[in-house]
Amino acid sequence: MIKLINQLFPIADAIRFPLLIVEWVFSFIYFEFGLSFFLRYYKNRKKSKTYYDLAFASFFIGFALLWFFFIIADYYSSEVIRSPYLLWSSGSDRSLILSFADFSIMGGALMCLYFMEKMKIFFIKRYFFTLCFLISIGIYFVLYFFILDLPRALIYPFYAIFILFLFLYFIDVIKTVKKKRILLIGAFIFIMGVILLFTGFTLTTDDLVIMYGFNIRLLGSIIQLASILCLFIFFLKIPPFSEFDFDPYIEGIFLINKGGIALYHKSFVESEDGKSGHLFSSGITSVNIILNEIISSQKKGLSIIKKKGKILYLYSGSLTTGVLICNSERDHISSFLKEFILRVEDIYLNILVDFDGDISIFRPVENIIKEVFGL
Amino acid sequence: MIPSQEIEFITFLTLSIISFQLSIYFFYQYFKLKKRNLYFNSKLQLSFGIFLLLLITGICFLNNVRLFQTDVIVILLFSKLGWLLIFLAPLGFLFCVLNQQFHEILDIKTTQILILFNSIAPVLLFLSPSTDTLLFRASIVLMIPSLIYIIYIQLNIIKKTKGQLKKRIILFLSGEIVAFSSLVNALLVNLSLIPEWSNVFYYSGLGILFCGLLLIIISLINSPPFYGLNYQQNLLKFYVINNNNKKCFYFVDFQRAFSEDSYLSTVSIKNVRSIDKALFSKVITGIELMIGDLTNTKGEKITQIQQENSMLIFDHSTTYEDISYILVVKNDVQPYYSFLQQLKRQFELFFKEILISLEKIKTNPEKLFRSFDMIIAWLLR
Repeated sequence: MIKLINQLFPIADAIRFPLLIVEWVFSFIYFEFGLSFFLRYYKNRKKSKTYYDLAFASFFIGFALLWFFFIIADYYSSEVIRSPYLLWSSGSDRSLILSFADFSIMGGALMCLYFMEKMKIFFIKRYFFTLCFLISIGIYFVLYFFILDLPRALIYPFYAIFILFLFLYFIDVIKTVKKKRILLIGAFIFIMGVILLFTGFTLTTDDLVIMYGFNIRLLGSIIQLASILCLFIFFLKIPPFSEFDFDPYIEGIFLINKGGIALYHKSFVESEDGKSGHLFSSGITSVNIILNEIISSQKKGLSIIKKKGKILYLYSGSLTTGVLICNSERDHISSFLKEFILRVEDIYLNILVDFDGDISIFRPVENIIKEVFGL
Repeated sequence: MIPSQEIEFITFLTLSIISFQLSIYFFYQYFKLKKRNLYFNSKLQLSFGIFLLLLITGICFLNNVRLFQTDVIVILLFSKLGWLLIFLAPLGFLFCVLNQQFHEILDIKTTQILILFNSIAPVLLFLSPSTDTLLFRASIVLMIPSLIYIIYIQLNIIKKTKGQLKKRIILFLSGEIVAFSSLVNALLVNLSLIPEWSNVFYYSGLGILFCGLLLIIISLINSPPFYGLNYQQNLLKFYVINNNNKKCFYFVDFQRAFSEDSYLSTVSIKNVRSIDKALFSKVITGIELMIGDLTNTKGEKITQIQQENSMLIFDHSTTYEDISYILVVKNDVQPYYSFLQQLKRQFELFFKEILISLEKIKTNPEKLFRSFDMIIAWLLR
């Protein structure tokens, strides 16, 4: 059975061609954005301390795919409802392509949430938003098997989850960068870009097009094109947010050579028992050696020792070991410790290989700590 | 417009976006390098930027004619405009490189003759009543020697470069040749030589162009800086001096670095480099004091000293006021100012945490700063 509905699609309006050009241009540029983030992540994957690049890559590639499918659906697919249609009791070519578009952005957003939440708890518990999103996708997927042409209202929970996440993320970004003016400006450019993107996208939805015609869609597409400019300025000019605030959590930091000598140590809290840095470093080195022996692990890498109220992060490089004493577990701190050790070993390579016992040369390590941990 | 035409246009539009982005990238590089006084490299970037921009805009016009125009006058006008831009592309390139600075990679007279030869093409284009005439086809032939000469220029650049940079330029040239070959398809489609195969030529041409552009993009990603031809042979020595205690805390002999593989290797750190740096730093400080005294410019710092064919170029840190950087080079110094600035930037970035507390280091700073060898090795790759 074939049923004809009010034929809006494929778009045959006079606006079709300019609209198609604008939509194709921004979809392609967003795809390029996603690809460049992915390449940046791939290039830095060994030394990278965050998954932000991967999160942005997932979102932008998902968004670009959404628009590629929208273009196929709205310009080149029929809206004529057939019954039966493939697996379903009824459906149209356009509905099928639109469902692919929905799954693309769902996949992109899900990956984005997962990589973001992998690094930080944004709300209640880790992976809260990822889980909510996954459950929504599960429900959507089950319904999808019964009805191809699902009401668009079913997409709204996804919007709600993602917008709530973005809201919390923006608050977090502003809190983190509020001390640095350049980052604060960057944060606002970024937020503006994302708001423009969402506003533009909303104006292109079918509901608004049915009400106000294709001019509103063209406006939405132009706004999405403009959002590229904001995001481009942000990604080109502003350094990535170093989202860390370790001040209240780190109690002490030690740099120890392979012989167990404390090359540098600094305490951020008043010591109760007055143990010397050298005593501590010798103890820690012994513990590390024992750990390596009993676990038969590599001599390089990360160890974490947890005790009530104290967590010790140990990272062993080829020539030194860094130890962080924290009062609680911190997301992602170990990658900063790794960066610290790699940086010290790069700068002090010649000194460490042929160490003559003079530790005064390690005094500038304090500046490296400031740089890496922001302490 | 029929959907197949739209798809043809969208496919072309995608490649145009990439080409325009590449062209913008070349212009951006031109302005960036111009500020750093890298004349040779900046002019090369400009020539590629102009070449690509004119070529792709010309092809855009021809595609517009092919897909959208029906009016005979508009078709003729747009076709001529498109071909004019295509003819101007190699001309623009050759004009940019027509300079004595490029004498090592091109022959000025040959370039002038080719420019003249290529300039006939636009004249023939305007004389021919349509794009189907023999006169017009002859104008296309006139452009070919210039395109071949552009490739020849790049082959000469490849001959005079080394290492990673050479590999990147080879990749860039390969991309360019692949992209150039798509012009054959463009010609077959636009002149409708085999109309029934038009679509096949069109899409295969775009595919070839995409592969060419992809190779060019890959060659540009993380490409080492290009300071000009033979710049490595002219590099002699580099010193970092602490003006406070008149000591040199970093030194590298570039010629030894190029000839001895282990020179920059930090494995051989126990072999202390026997160098004249202790004396050098004191002599430089002495010269600075004497010149300052003799010319009443005590507050000013020396920026350049020339001795026969060798030059000492100075750069003084703005962040750490006691530190001076001295590069000793042969012959022309212009590109080396930029190289010295790059060395300064890298040194201050690598040791920024150390340099702000330099006074806290009581012993062995020279040994500490030798870690900079790995950055030098990376810069010379």
